Amino acid sequence: MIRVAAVGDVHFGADSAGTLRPHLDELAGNADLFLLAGDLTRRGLPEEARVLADELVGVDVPMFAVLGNHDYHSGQEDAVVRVMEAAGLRVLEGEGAVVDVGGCRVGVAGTKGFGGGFVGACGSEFGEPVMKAFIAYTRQMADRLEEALTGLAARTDVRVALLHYSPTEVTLRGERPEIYPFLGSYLLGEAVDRGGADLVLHGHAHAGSERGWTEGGIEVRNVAQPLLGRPYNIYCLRRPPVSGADELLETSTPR
Amino acid sequence: MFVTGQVPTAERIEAVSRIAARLPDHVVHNDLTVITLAEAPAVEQLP
Repeated sequence: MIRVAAVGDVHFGADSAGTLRPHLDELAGNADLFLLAGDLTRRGLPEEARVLADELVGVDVPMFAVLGNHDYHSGQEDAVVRVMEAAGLRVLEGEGAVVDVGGCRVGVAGTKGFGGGFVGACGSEFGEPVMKAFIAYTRQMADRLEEALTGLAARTDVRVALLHYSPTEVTLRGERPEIYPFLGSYLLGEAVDRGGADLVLHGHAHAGSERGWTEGGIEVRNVAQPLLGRPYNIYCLRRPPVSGADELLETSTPR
Repeated sequence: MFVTGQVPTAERIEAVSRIAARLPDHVVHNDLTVITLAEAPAVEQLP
C-alpha cells in the first residue's frame, strides 16, 4: 500500500505559525509521502513561505508541491520556490520525480495548471491576443504535464499527478458554475488521460467536492484544505504486483 | 481591497465582508478562510 498524504490551499501567512505543525508529528507513521497542491502562501511572499517551511522541519517523508495562483501574486514565485526547496519540499512545474517507497517506485508529476473551462463552456485560442495567450498558457502546462507523466510510465510502478487547478468539473461541484473556467480546464484532464496516472490531486476549489474522476476514469481528489476541513487527507493506492514475479516463480519451479 | 487571513467561523468572514463593503470607492476581495481543522486526517482506500 502506498499512502499519499495531501493537502492544498494552506494559504500560509505570518499568523499561521503552529497551525499545521502539530498535525505533522504523526505524518511519517501514517503516510509515505506528503504532497501540497498549491497556494502555499496568501500573497506569494517569501516570508510567508518561510513560515510554512518552518512547519515542515523534521517531516521525515518525501515532500512535493506545486505552486498555486496565490503564490504568483507578488511576482516572487522563484523566491517562494527557493524557500520551500531549502526546507526539503521539492516544487514541481511541468516535471516528474520518482521516490522509492519500500521497493515500489512512485512517480509524481506536477504542474500548477491553469483555467479555461470544460467541454461546452470553455475558452479557445481564438480572437484577441490576450485570449489566445490565456488558453495557450493552459495548453502549455497541460502538454508538459502529459510529457512528465509519459516520462514516468516506464520507470515507476505508481503515478500521481499533482495540480493546483482542476482537471475535471466533477470536483468543482459546489462552486458557482460561472467561475468554473477560472478553476480548471479540460486540457489538464485530457493530459492526464493521455499520459496516464493512478491518482490526480488538486486544490483551488475551496467550495468544490472532494471526489471526482477524469473523462478517462482516473480518480481525482480535490484536497483544498478549506474543503477537507482537516490538516490533510491520506489516499491509499494499491501496490502493483512485483514485475517479473510470475516469470521468477516459473523459472524457479522444479521441472 | 484584499482581505486575507484565517478566522474561526464562516459568520466572521461574512461580517468582515459586510463591514468592508461600507468603504466607498473600493472593490473588496474577501479571501478569508476558516481555520478550524479536524484533528485527524481522513483515510481513503482507492480502488
